[in-house]
Parts: sequence; C-alpha cells; structure tokens
Amino acid sequence: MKGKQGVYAVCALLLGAATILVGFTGAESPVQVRSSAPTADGWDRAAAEQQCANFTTYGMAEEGVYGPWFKAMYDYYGWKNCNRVDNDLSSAEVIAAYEAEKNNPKAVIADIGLVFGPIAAQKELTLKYVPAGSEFIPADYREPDGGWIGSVVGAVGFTVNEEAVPNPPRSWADLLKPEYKGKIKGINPSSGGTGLMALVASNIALGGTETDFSKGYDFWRQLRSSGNLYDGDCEIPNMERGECGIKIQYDFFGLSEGVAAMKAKGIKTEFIIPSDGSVWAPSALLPNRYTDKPDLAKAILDWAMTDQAAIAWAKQYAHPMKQVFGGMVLPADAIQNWLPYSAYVPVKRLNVLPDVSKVADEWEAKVLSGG
Amino acid sequence: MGGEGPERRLTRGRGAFGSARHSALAPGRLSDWVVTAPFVLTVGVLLVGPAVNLVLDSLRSSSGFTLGNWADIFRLALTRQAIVSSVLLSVLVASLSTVIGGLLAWCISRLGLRGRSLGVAAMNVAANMSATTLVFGFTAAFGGAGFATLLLRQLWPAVPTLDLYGPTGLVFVYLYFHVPLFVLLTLPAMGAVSEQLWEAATVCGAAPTLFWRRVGVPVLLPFLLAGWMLMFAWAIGQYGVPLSLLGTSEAVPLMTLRIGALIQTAGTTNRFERAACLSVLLVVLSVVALWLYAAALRRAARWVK
Repeated sequence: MKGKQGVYAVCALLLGAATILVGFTGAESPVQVRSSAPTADGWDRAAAEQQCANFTTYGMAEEGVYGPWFKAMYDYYGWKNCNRVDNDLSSAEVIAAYEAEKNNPKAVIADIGLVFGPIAAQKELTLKYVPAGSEFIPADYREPDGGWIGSVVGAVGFTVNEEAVPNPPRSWADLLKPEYKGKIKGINPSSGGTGLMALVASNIALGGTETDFSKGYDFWRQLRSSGNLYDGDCEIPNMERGECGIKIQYDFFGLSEGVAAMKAKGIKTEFIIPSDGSVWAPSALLPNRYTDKPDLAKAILDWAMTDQAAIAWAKQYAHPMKQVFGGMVLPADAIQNWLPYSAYVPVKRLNVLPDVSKVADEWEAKVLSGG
Repeated sequence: MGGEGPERRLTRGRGAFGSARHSALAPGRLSDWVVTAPFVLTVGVLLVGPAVNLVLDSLRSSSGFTLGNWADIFRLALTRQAIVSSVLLSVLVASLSTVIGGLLAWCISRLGLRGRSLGVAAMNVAANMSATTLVFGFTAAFGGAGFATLLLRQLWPAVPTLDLYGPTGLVFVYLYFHVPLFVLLTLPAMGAVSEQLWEAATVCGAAPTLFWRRVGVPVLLPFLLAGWMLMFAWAIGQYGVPLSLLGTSEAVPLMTLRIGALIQTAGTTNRFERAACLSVLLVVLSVVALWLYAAALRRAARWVK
C-alpha cells in the first residue's frame, strides 16, 4: 500500500508540473487579430453598435456620472439596443483585473485616476488608439501614441451627511477634531486616484509640496491614531443612514452620487471644499488592450472628445478637460447646479503629477506601519 | 509491489471482499488508476499545481531565484504585523470557539431529539452565512447607526458601544460563524462521554468534579483540540469577511488582506512575490493545523467505536 501512495504522489506532482507548463504557455498567447473593415476613424460602426448590446465597464457606476453620460452617447450615435454592466473598481483594481483577464477580457473601458495611466501603459494594457478631435488634451494628460487619455478634472473635498455630522468640517485641519470620532471614511492612496489625490490635497493644504508628501503622511498617521476614521463600508446606503458621516472624494462624485441623491430623499447633505487647500485631480479613460469589443472602445473614446460628451459630464458636475484645456464654453443649463466659482478658490492645479508607485510604497512604510 | 504475484493479490482480494470476483480491485492494477483519475487530476490541477507554482513565485526575482522576498516579508513592519496579528486573532477565535462551542455542544447533545435537531438546524444556518450577508447584518444591528446600538442608546445613553470596524468587531463577527461550526463538528463526539461511563464512575464513588477531571475532560480533550485546530485553520484563511467589514483600509493588518493589497495596489518592487510568500506561509500554517487536527482525531478515535 505504501508503494501505491508513492505512485499517486508522483502522478500528482507530474500533473502539477504539467499544469504549470500549460499556465506559462497560456499566458504567452498572442493578441487576436480581427478582420473587421475599419472606417476612416479606425473603427467599424456596425460592429460597435453590435458590441454595445452587451458590454462591461469598470469604475463607471451607473448611479451618478456615468449612467446619464452613456445614455447621451447612445443618443449621439443613434444606438437603440445598448446594455452596460459596471463593476465599480478602483484604479489599481482595474489594472490588476485587466492583467488577470488578458485571455478572457471582460471590460471594454474603465475610468481611472489619471496618475494610474502610466502604470497601465507600462504593463502594456492600453488599447492603442488616438481618438478623433483629442488635440486639446495636453501631452502629460495622455499616453503619447494613444492609450489612456484625460477626461475630466475634479476637486477633492468632503461629502458630509449633516444629520449625522451637524457641524461639518470646513478644512483638513478640522478633521482632527475629537467630535468627528468614527465619522470619516479613510483613504487608500495605493489603490485609487481618489485616495491618492486626497493625500496630495491634504499635503499641500498643510504646507507640503508637489513632490514631498511628508506633511500628508504625518497628517494621516495622526488621523489614523485619533480614532476619527471609520473603516466600514461608505457607499451611499451607509452614508444615508449616517453609519458613515464624512467621505473624501471628487466634487463630481460627491455632488452627483452623494448630495443630489441624498437631497432627493430629504437628507441634509453638503459637499465642502476644504478652505485650507485642495487640488484639481485629473481622471482618465483606460481602453482595454485585450478587449474583444475594440470598435466599441474606440467609439467611446471618440465620443468622449465631443462637445456633447463634455456637456454630459458637466451636467453631472464634472469639469471636462474640453472646457479646462480646450477653452470650450459650456451652456448655462449644463452648469447651473455647479458650486459657485468662489468655492473653488482654494483649489490648485498640480504642475507635477505624483508617482503612484512611490507614494504606495511610502504610504505603507510611513502610515500603515505606524512609523 | 512489482514482486507481488497474481496468487498473492487474489488472496488479498478474497480476504478483503470475500469473493474472487473483486480481485480486479486489488492494488497495482491499471483499473485502480483509471478510477482515481478524476480525483488525481482535480487535486493536481487545483491544489498541487498552484501550490508548486506559488512556491516558485515566492522564490522568483528579475534575475533568477532569490530568498530576498522571504527576507522582505519578515523585515517589513507591515507584513510582520500582518503575520503576528493573523496568528493572534486566529488563536483567540479558535480558543473562544472551543470554550463557547464546547459548552454549547455539550448542552445540545443532552437535549431530546427535537431539541437537538432544532439546535443543529440553527447552527447550520449560522455557520453557513456568507461574508457579505453576515457583515451587512452586523452593520445593520451593531454599527454606529445600527438598530441595536440606537435602541441601547435610547435606554441607556452612556452605553459602551461595540467598535465593529476594528479588532473587537472582527472577533465578534468571526465567532458568529466559528462557534456554530465548532458545535456541528464536536456534537457527535459528545456521545463519547456516555451514560455508562458516568454510571461506572459513580459506582466507583466518583463525585462529579472527579468524574470530569479524570474521565470526561480526558475523553473529550482530543476532540476539542481537533476542533481548535480546525477553527484556527479556518480563521487564519478568512478573506471575504474582513474585506467586507474593513474594506481595504487595513485598520487591522491581516495576512489575507495584505495579500489582496499587494496584488491590487500600486507599488514598486517584488509585490507579487511578497504576496506569494505570504500565501505559502498561509498554506504551511493551514497544513500544519490540519495535520495536527488529523493527529488529534486519530487519538480521539480510541473512545468511539
């Protein structure tokens, strides 16, 4: 009987080795080349419409910004039968998912923090395409030969449920007050653009520079040990109930998903831009290199550069790059619900975009490790 | 094995099954391998292959093989804390599950048939609650705006509330599904302390305390230890529950959360390899716990026929 067990073990080991070999060769399989007749703009209209019938995106939740934005796109192209499913992932999760799903791609395109774009490009996960009419996007807000490309900018601030937090914080420094015990949703700069830009904004507000984040690390280490952070889930249902009181996010997500949705239910809510300083955080679109719906991905990118797309973003409180860099004048009805211009005075534009990987390492060493 | 003649095999087959017809099932024949193929294939593809791959990943560097990744996980405070607190949390949860679950199992085993099946049904439901459902339930009841919290605060404004999103909360949530599993696993063993043992001890003049010290606990101990091992292995491998409860903020450093963070966040060097090291460590801890579990059960088997 002993001998038999030995044979089983050898057999299992061989199988294991075979599995690994198969795994290695599988990972090397080349990208499929498709033979669809391209149009002048590099994508097939009929194919794109067909691909629209059932597609997946990451980080573009239906509630808030991207539901209405995609509806506007279907109207723009005159597509009747479009069905989108979104998985609301953070930027780093999107990159991990694109990489893991190389051989079985799910998402066509994703919304990410722009600073994560270079990481995706370095891992060769971006679909190479330069959308029509994208000249207005500055060189450092796009991948040079097509790939990830800037979309909108947002200001970092606080969404506050004022029934759970009657006296809301007005500045980063305010967040340390003992009255906010267990109220503030923590950030994760190593995972998403929002967390990263929240760190950058707090760092600049507290006297740091665009390349040295030590003021920000000190602040967040202090905040973590203050007991003010809330570590549970802070999606809208938990914000509505007051389980989570203060969420740090971009103005357009806060105003559309948060304030507008909660006000509709009669909950007193406010989006506050901290008076001691904030930054304009750029977002980007990340088309998936391995997608089996490349025509649709290109169609979405082309659409994103149009005036109509800019207006659709503006209606959801986002500041489109077409306005910021392209000088486009948005119609009054698109911006009627925006915060007043004066609210944005403390918001600065960054000259140097942060290096995500470096910040991730420093965040782990200086904040998460507690020293 | 090669030296075994057909005679010998035939005899053994007859000895085991009482009929020569079953001799085909004797060891060493090709037909043995054919019937086990699905099992061997499954284990190879799903368990052995990935495990070997994981070990190789943990030793990989851009310039060949290295032990640097392993050095890193013990050198970096974050991974070191994760290992320590994962082990401590699992020891605590396993110990509490053993004490609470052991008493509960004893109580349920002494109930009548209806009471026992009701108890088993309830334990089954609790033990099989999925991570997100469980965390949602705890948030709705014991969160900062949970109904139990709000109700208690109405009755007694200064009531100390449970810090759900921290180590304490994590222990409570873990216990909610570890204790029932422990009960389900040890309930059959409670029969080992039978009425006969009790009567025999009483006839010999043993008082209840003496009975428990010399007979009851020694008989049950291997079962309880086996349960402890299994609870430890189960607790240390949890990912869904802590992720649902604490998200990615890493308020409580745990090995599983760190593995997830290393794979799903930005960063510079050997992150995937460090995740592989932590995974291998997790596999080793679980295998040791399960091996001790099997050893304890073998010891316990003396008492049940």
